[in-house]
Amino acid sequence: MTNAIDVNALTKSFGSFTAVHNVNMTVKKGEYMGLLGPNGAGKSTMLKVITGMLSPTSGSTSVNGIDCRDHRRAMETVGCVIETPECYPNFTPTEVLSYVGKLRGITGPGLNARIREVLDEVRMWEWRDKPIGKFSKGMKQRVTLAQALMPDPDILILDEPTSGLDPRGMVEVREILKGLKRDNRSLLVSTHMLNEVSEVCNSVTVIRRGQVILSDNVKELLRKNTGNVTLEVYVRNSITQEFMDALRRFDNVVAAERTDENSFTARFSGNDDREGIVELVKRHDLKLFSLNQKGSDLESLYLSLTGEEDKDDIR
Amino acid sequence: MTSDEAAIASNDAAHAAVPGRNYKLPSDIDQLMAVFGAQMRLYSKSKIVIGFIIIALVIPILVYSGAAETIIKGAADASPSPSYLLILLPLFIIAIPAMMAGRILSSEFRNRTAYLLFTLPVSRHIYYFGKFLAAFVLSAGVFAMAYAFAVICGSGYGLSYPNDVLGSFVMCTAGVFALTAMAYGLSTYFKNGSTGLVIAIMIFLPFIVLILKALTGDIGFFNPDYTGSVWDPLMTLPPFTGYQALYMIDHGVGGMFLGELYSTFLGPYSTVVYVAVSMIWGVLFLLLGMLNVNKKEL
Ligand SMILES: Nc1ncnc2c1ncn2[C@@H]1O[C@H](COP(=O)(O)OP(=O)(O)OP(=O)(O)O)[C@@H](O)[C@H]1O
Ligand SMILES: [Mg+2]
Repeated sequence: MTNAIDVNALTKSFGSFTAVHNVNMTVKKGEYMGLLGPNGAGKSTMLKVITGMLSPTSGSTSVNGIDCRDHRRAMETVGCVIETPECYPNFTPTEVLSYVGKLRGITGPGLNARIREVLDEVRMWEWRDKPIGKFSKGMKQRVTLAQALMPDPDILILDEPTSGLDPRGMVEVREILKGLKRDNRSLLVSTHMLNEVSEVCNSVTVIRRGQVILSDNVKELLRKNTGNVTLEVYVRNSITQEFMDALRRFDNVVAAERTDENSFTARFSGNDDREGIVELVKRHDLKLFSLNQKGSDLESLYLSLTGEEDKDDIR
Repeated sequence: MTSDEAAIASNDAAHAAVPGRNYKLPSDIDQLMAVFGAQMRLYSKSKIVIGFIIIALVIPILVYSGAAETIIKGAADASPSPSYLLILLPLFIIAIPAMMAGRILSSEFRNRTAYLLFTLPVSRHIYYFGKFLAAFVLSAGVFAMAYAFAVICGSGYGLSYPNDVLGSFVMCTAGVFALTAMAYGLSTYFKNGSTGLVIAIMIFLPFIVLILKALTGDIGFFNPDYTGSVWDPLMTLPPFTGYQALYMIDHGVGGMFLGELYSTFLGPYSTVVYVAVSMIWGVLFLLLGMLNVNKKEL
């Protein structure tokens, strides 16, 4: 069986700067692949090569076995939203979708029916006849998503579909994405948000500085890396230096940091002995206020893979 | 509500029973027509474009009604001439194509609509030529209507057209093609389009040629025995087609903008030459723009 998306030894340079370096990646039919990486990792660049907005410096990409240089044929069953595109502000969702539909060969009464379906899918049907220029960012994003759904695509390629949205908008778009799952439909979605990958995808490829550093099944990855977590602890009195020293010597703690007068974090590699930490707190006459796991397991994993300096990129 | 939208609203039945999704990629021609149609729809929503078209069309009517008569033709000539009805042709033949074609493509990149369209299974050539076609058809259509108004209004003056109105119209259309293609092709090289640049170049070019002619041909700087001027071939270039087209209707009015000096230089070649030069000019600029769009990285 041919793969949904193949990226073979892809390199893309801008002048002397190499944004994507010898990347190999495969998205199988039916696979939901998250392309995860910090800002500037080369996610958009990869997706742009696949969708014909950039041409590769070397290597190749193909979709359903069709080389992406044959843009017209390769994109026939692909829907994409790359780098927050815009629709004509004077157009209404109906007008945009009927234009896209005509370009894709959807005509006659089937076109109107399809427009209704996709607008229902992204919950924009009631806005169908309002000019897009007046829409909020989230609404615009949903119209561009509707556009990608027009051909009932086998493959969806989405670049940071929730970027720039408020928390509510993010949740809405993620819910829509989950609702798009179909047998044999594949998804390639780039993001720097880990919860997006764990919520929506079943596979993940992590890239950093234009290179793949990991590619795996999401469940498998989480199973292999349990215990790779950071705990965040708040106490009611001041944390002493002796306590911090003791904490750093604690089993499996790879990094400990006093974040505040009354709080500290401890990153574990391997088993995180939470009861032991509570004991340690008590022994140093500290009164425990709260103990939380910081971020998801995937987040800790991601930090250890990409290095602490990219910490600010994570939300 | 348009009939399309009404059909959607009442089409819950169709909604429920969508047939198997076997959309077939349309032919290049069908895609071209879709791009053309979308561009026409965009024009129809642009207030500036609509305003400009109305101004262009209204001039023959204003002149005919007498409202603009005193302003436009008053001092120049006592006897009415039908070509006064198209008096602003040399200006509009530059301004209208530049306005219609000078921004439509660059704005797709600036406003990021290309980021949507260029991912669709459509070749870039289709977008490029579809949009150009819309710009050309609309510009040429405006002039066709202006000519029609002028002929109708002119016959109201009781004037016949002794000179070549049809030939003038053909030359005008060729000029519109050349200037639309120039504005369109050049616009791919500028972030904010080419409208201003094209208008500036095209309006000044005739004056420059005129000065060159005066300095060399008439003074005999290059060739004392030559009765014409070595610069005469330049008169076949598209920025002159407006003057030439006017001249073909009425010799006296063609040179009005640039004075008597100019009118003595008009009309040395046959219409075929002007049309051919305009076509070549247009095709070259179109190719120039296409090369740029082809290799454009988003
Ligand atoms: N047209 C271009 N010219 C020069 N450099 C570019 C160009 N496009 C991207 N880059 C550079 O390539 C690198 C990768 O960019 P890319 O947009 O692919 O990152 P990204 O992973 O999508 O990041 P983000 O999360 O910020 O969207 C960045 O350092 C960027 O500055
Ligand atoms: Mg990006």
